[in-house]
Amino acid sequence: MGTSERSYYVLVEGTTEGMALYAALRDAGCKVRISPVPRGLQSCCGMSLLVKADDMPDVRAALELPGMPGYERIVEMENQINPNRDVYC
Amino acid sequence: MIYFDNAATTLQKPPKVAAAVSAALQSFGGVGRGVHGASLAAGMGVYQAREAVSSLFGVANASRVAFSSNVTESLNTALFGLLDPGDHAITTAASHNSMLRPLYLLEDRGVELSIAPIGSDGSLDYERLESLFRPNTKVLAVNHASNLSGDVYDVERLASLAHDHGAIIVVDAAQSAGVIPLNMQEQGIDVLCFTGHKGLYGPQGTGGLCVALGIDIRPLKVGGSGTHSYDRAHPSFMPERLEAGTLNGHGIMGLEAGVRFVSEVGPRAIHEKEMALVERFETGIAAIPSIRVHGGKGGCDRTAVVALNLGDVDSGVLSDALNVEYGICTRAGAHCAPLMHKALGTTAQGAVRFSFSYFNTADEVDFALAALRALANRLA
Repeated sequence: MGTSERSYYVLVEGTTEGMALYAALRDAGCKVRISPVPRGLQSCCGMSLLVKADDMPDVRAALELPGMPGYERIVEMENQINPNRDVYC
Repeated sequence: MIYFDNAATTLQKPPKVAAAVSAALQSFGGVGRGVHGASLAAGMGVYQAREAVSSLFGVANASRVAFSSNVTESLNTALFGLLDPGDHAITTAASHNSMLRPLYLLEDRGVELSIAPIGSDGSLDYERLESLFRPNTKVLAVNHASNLSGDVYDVERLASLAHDHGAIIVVDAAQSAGVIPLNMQEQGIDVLCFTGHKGLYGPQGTGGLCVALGIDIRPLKVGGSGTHSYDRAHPSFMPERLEAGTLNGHGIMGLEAGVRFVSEVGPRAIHEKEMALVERFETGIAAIPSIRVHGGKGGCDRTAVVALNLGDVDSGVLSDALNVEYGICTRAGAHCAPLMHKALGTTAQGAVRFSFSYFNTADEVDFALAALRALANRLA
């Protein structure tokens, strides 16, 4: 799976800031999705923006654009989610 | 039924308002509570509503828009969050009880209070108001437009006065939002308090306050925030700082639809249409000698409100006759504006308030004029 095995969490101060950042990044053409913050990251906000490693360069570039809402920090982690997992229900 | 009580709440709403509330009721999870699909739909919806409000009022950014349940809650939040014992506040006699009562309670707790008088024509003496400033004046809290007479006060001039004296201006835009153009950044407004269910055509139970950058307001209530759950204190950043507990996400979606309607049509166009109805109405009642109109000529502008009395007929009797005999909804009595009634000389009789909206028609105005002519012949 290469670099896609890594994920990046863009941590934000609060949900409104997170929504603003999500909307701005999507408008900029970035692939991000909103995700709960893994508790181990010690972030105080319950939400974060989850970015696949392959998409991170675009996100980093977009975060530098003028007028882009702020964020707390970016944390790299092992991918936590396997969307191709077996589902038993 | 003909509805002329739009200063209390607008009855006819743009169809998209009810549709937005209904859609939200069937799809929303908790706003800012969790990040599953239903919660995100609510969170993004409310965020877009903040953007719509921010755009309409010229707010610095969407995060400076905090939602509340109505303008009374917004004003309480602003006044209790800014004023401490020993501070001085100024308001005007045009203020509604939503402004006056928090200030009276603060006065009981050690805040000094001055009230600038309003003339019998509804006018505000700006020089007299300026003379009330003291070294410890922290807040100038003003009603942008009188809910009784419709007189609009020059908010840009008032903001300038406040800032010249190192004070913060808090504006009650309950009656002006949606019909009088407002731009916080251009007009120098520090705190703009609004309600959703009047000129913004949203549902009752919605409102908010917009706070300029650099202005910090202590929260009136604290508790669940959806974030920072392990902290002892409520979040310190906007807008979460002024929002505790789950928001009225369903209602806010209706408010957003109303705000977008206002933005699309434009406050100026809405105001022009409403004032054409006022002109038609006032031209008609000018031919009824026993009718007296109170205020409405003393401001720098006016909202679509006409307060009147018929001879010495009790305002409650006239309003009731209009309702029971003609199906016309007006508002009699004191209108939660005791000092304004005193200024206009209508404390004893009260006044019958006709307040028009974008959705009223000339035919409805003509019907009301016919009713008033008939009642004048019989009662006055």
